[in-house]
Amino acid sequence: MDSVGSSYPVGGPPVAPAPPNMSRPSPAPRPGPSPTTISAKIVVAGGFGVGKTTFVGSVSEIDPLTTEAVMTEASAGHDDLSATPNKQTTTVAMDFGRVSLDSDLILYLFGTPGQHRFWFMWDDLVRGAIGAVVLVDTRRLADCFSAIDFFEDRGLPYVVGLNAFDGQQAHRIEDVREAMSIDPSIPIVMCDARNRESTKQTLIALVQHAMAARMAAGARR
Amino acid sequence: MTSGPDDAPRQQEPTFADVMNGFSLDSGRPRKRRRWGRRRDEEAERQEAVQAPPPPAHSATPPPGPVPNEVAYSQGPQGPQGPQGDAGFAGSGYGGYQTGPIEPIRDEPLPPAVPTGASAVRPYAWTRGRTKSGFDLAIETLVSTSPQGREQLALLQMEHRSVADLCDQPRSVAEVAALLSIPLGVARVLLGDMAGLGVVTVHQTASSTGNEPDLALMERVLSGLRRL
Repeated sequence: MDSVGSSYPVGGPPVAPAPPNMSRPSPAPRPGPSPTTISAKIVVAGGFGVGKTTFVGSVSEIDPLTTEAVMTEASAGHDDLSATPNKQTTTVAMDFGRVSLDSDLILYLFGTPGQHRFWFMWDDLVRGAIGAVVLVDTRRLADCFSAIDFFEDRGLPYVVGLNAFDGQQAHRIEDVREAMSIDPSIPIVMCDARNRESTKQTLIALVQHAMAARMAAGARR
Repeated sequence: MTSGPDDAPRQQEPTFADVMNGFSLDSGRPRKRRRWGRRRDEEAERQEAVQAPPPPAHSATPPPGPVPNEVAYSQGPQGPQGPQGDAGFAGSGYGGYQTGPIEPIRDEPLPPAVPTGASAVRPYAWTRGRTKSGFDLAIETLVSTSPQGREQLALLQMEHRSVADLCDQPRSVAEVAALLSIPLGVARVLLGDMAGLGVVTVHQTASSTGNEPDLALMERVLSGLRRL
């Protein structure tokens, strides 16, 4: 625990202070961590074993951590409870990483729980998120459909990242778009989850897409 | 918890629900004001309490009969094992279920719904069975130990102290849960308590002002990513 704790940098890269409109007026100068440090979050989704944790880990400043939530009843009919008929809870885990983008801005990347039956956690994950990266293994396209459906349903901006496992893509982006019937407005990018630069570019594509979607929505109102 | 636009009209005529909702992140109101609101609403609160007993209490201590309490207390000593990890929870959980069916038979029969209550208590021993926090804490919400918390560090109860130690620099709710190996829900309740005591400061999130992060913040995230 200590080693993890000490791996945090004290602050982000040396940059200019936040623009005045972003920082809240503080009543008095106080020692210690600035209470104006704010956090944002991006969701990383995809089928089991598609490389979500690798993706998070390649850009995170800490080794991906795992957090748990206690699950009740949702497992009924899925988990074998015959040996423990009164067992009502089990736990579900999700991985996440942390990136300090500024001295007062921290981005968290949350990997979705792999199993699709843990939908109840997705609501928590999606609430307030900038957007989602849906990682796709072109050999198993169908694995990501439920995630895409979920984000469409919630109106969360997302981009599709085609994860290249052997460094090479077997399919062209347009072929994948057609195969998955993904709307032309949704960006599809090639990425290598192990490569920090590639992960970074995928996240940039997502934030740009989310901003464009937001501005378009604002214009419609 | 609440949607932004509804807040303004409601504040003129506070109800019990509003008092509860007042504990949300986006409020950032001084504690004094919340207390004032609460006192003013004591009447309504009491009436509400009579009509509808608070739901979290149900999972903590099932109301009828001495038996469920006995079960809950007997689990008490095992509670502190919780922080050691998931395995501890699961293990103690099994033990609880074995005693569960045996105990009620001794006494008068219980309503069928009651025995399930005990299952929620185990992982939440740190929170004395509460599953809800007064604060609306998202998983990415940052918390940090306040100057007041740092002064009172030696006086804090054990679990609060470990959280306060951890939050010397801003940490998200998810990090607190992961680094202390406690379920997310437990971390939320603990942090909610500590925020209520003024021991930790709850930071803004990207979505504090609504359900979606604002454009200016996304811009900052974008330029931050580019600089990486």
